[in-house]
Amino acid sequence: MNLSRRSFLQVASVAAGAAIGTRLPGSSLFGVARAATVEPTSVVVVYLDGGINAIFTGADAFTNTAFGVTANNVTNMGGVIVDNALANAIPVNVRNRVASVGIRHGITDHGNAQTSLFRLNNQAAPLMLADAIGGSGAIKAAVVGDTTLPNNVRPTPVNNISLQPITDMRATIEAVAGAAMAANVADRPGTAKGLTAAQKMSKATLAKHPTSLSSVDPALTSAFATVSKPVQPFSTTEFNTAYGLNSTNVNSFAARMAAAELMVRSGTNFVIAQDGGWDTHGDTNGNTVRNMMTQRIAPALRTFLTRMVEGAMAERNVVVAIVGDFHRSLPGSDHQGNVSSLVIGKALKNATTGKTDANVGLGPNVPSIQGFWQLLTAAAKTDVSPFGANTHAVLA
Amino acid sequence: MSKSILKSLVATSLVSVLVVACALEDADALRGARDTGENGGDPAAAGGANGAAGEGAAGTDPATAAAAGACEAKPHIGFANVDFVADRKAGELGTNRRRVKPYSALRGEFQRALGVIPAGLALNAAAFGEAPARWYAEPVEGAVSLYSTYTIAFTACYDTMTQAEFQVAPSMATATDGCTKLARKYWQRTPTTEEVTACATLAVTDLATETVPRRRWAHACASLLSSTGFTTY
Repeated sequence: MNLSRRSFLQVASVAAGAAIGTRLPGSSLFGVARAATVEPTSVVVVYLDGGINAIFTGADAFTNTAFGVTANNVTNMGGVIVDNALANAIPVNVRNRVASVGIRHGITDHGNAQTSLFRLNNQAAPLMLADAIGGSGAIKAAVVGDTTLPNNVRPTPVNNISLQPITDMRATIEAVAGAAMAANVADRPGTAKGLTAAQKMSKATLAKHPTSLSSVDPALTSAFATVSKPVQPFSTTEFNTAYGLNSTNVNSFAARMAAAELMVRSGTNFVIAQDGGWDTHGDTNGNTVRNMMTQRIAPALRTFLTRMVEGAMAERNVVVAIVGDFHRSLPGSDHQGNVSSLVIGKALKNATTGKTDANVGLGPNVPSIQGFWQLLTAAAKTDVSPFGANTHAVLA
Repeated sequence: MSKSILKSLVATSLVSVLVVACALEDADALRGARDTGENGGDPAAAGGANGAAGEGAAGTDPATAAAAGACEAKPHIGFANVDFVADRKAGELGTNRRRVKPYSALRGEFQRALGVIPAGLALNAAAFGEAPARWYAEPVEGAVSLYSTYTIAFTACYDTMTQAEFQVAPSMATATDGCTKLARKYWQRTPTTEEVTACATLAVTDLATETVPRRRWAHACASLLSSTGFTTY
């Protein structure tokens, strides 16, 4: 039998499939025991830079009064009533797994809202969540199509977990799956050793430039972890076909959702996909956000939800949260000092703590940002929550 | 020209030199836009191939040239005569100066280091997260971009390491000598003993099971090209 290195790696990948597909308890690169999330678990945040209109988290507050909401352009999902522009992206079989979660943050400026929504106790909340989920993924937190969190925040690693940028599907798949072997192609064991040596050679420079080169050491660590894992076969063709893409560059919302699926399937615990242009002042009839949602977000979101939530419900727990800086206020669709998130996943039930009143206000007892992360952590079913106990009664 | 005018000119020049030398608050020092001139910020574009440009500056470290705190930040007096930068802490000279090289710089840098532009570099452009034209984003390193750098470098190293010395398995002596020379060329400075040891140990010990000597050398080469000596400036 003429077994090439490539075919050997492919055989090895099948053997390792169970290990990849099964979330091992762990907290760092090689699974230091911590959380006991027993199935592959990922939290995917779809972030609308600028804001999210409350018609996507509780449209019935505005029926026949504001933002163009009528009884005919919304869908009732067990009391969670959502504008059809977004509801149409949610597969029918998932609609009983949709909840609306309020965040009473009291912030009305973009920069502060974007930074504060992802920062708790002076740490990056996404990285704390990724750490709590544990697992064996090489890249535990990823931003797809960008290099930072909203407001250009480059978070400090938490317990060796860093936010890794994913900007190209082909290169990412090659890193995860390995390249076809040839004499002049680097092998994965050798690459792992070479990267370790590169990290040693970089030590003095990184010590001298800890701020300006803050991304380098986590990148070396994550690159080493990636090539040290068993290979996982993926195909760019599969993703391009499913999401209607014609390149591997992650430069559109559809490409971001395709990259999100790739990262979820490769074991990443937290993924954020951002989309810009949602600071919709003057959109009093809601048509601007409806059109953006329908044309740009819904098609790829529907594909992702169909494949990763509806289609993978038996094998993995994927929680999708759609949120933005804040709600749009009345009468001018400006900045409201709160926001709600539409959260979708098998751990959720139809319930709402995020429905506003007719003036886009949330009740006084609705939790703030920490409550949102408590809910996401509870939906991810981690043993320990770094944010505290969940108070949103929206879990199945 | 009268003597007094000449004196004034000399005095003005001296003051100017001192002001420039002490202007620690360069707005572009850490996060500002890179040079986007005709070379697109490529530090190697103006130099010749094979590392000829800039090699004379090897081993110099600006931090050792002047004591930390020798210069104080320029005050910025605002309303009510308040210096609004008074609470800024003076940083040590030379720290946090290096930046990740943007993708636009790598083409020329590989040309300088290896004498060729790797074929895989253009194919992997998106992996490096290059900002679109007329936009600026601070380059960051990621796991995927570093993996791409390593694999691109390995292939280019292997393809160019055709000399006889690279067809023989490295010993600690030849690896030490080879790593020193390669690092000197790629990084444009003299490597430290620790850096050379890391490279030589990789070639000799860590990759001992690799049966093709040229691949061992190529891994050492790729490792040097994936370290901060090459990926940052």
